[in-house]
Amino acid sequence: MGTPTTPRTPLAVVRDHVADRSIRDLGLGLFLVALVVSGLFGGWAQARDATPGLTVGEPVGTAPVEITVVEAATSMDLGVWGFGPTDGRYVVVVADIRTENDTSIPALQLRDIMRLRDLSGIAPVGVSPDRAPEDIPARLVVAADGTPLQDLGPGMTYRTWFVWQQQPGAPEPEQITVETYSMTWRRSNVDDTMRWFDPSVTARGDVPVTMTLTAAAP
Amino acid sequence: MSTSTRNRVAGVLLVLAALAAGRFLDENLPAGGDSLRPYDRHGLVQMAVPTRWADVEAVRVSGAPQVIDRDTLAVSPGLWVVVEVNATPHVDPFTIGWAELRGGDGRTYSRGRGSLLCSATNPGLTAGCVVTIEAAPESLPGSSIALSGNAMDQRADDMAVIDLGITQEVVDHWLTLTDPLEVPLPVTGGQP
Repeated sequence: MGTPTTPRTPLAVVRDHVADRSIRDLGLGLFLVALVVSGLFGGWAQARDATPGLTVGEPVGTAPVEITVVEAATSMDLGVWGFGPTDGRYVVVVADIRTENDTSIPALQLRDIMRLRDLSGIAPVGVSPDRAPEDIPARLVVAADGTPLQDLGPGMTYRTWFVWQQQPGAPEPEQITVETYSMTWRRSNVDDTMRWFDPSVTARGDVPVTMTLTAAAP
Repeated sequence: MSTSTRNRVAGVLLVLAALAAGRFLDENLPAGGDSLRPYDRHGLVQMAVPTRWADVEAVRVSGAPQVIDRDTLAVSPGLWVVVEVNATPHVDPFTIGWAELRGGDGRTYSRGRGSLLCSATNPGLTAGCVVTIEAAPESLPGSSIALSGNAMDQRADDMAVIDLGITQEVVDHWLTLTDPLEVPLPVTGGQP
């Protein structure tokens, strides 16, 4: 009759099993585990784009700015300071914007609440020429008086022109893909101040482009 | 456990304890933003507010949905508030460099599209300043204007906070104005 052996713990069983395996076997094992686990969540298939659609006339309630796209238009001359006759073309998204934040939203952050997708020939006005077209921000103009929109104060709705500039020769768009962005209020890692950071897409939609800018102030 | 292992563990524990102590001190000592907050010096319209950098007095407050500021029409979806201020600097040859409007409802408005102009001055000479800020009408009753001498950094220095004396009746009247309000220019020696 032999001496009774102490039951081994599951950890010990795994350790003994793994200890005499080659690196190749271990790598293969890890790959198979990853494959099985990822398979439970859809495998390597292209993830479905879950970005909500953007509809003209319907507000997108993003933090910190609520955005209602009204229309899109092109023009060779917006007739306001800084947007006179151009050899290229202005592409304008007209939108009503509003914040219910307790403090004004700085102009620098407002530039990041809207982007255009897949529009060719956007001129990098005021930004580095190396910047990708989809990362070029608009310049913002108050529709009511044609002055540049600076900080956005709480509780007021501004009809705003989001203006991009197309280079000469770029094809005139019949519709454009507009994206709206939200941001997060957090402490800066650099200077410890609280600011809006990390723009992320909240809605995306195609907006037909008209030949004339018709939307007046609200 | 051998001596060297014990020393290693003790070293790691000491480092962790030092990190925890640093975190505790950082979060609990008054060394954060609070200790650098401006010193609010409160006052009313037509009352001199003494600060470290100047004696500041708001002399006139007006408002309208539209203003003409140096020949440029500016239309607000809310209301423009125009504040004329006299300031006599104590130490530097300049006066007000920064302004914000603190609404009666707790909301704060930066100057944004508004303007801040002061006449040239020297210590002891009164300068006229004109500030324009737009705000939602519901924020204006009970609102104050905060004025600082430093355009870039308002921390740890005096700030004049002046109750503008705006009532709901005043706001209702401003909302009925259809003609643009002409923004006055700053006057050397003080606003008339």
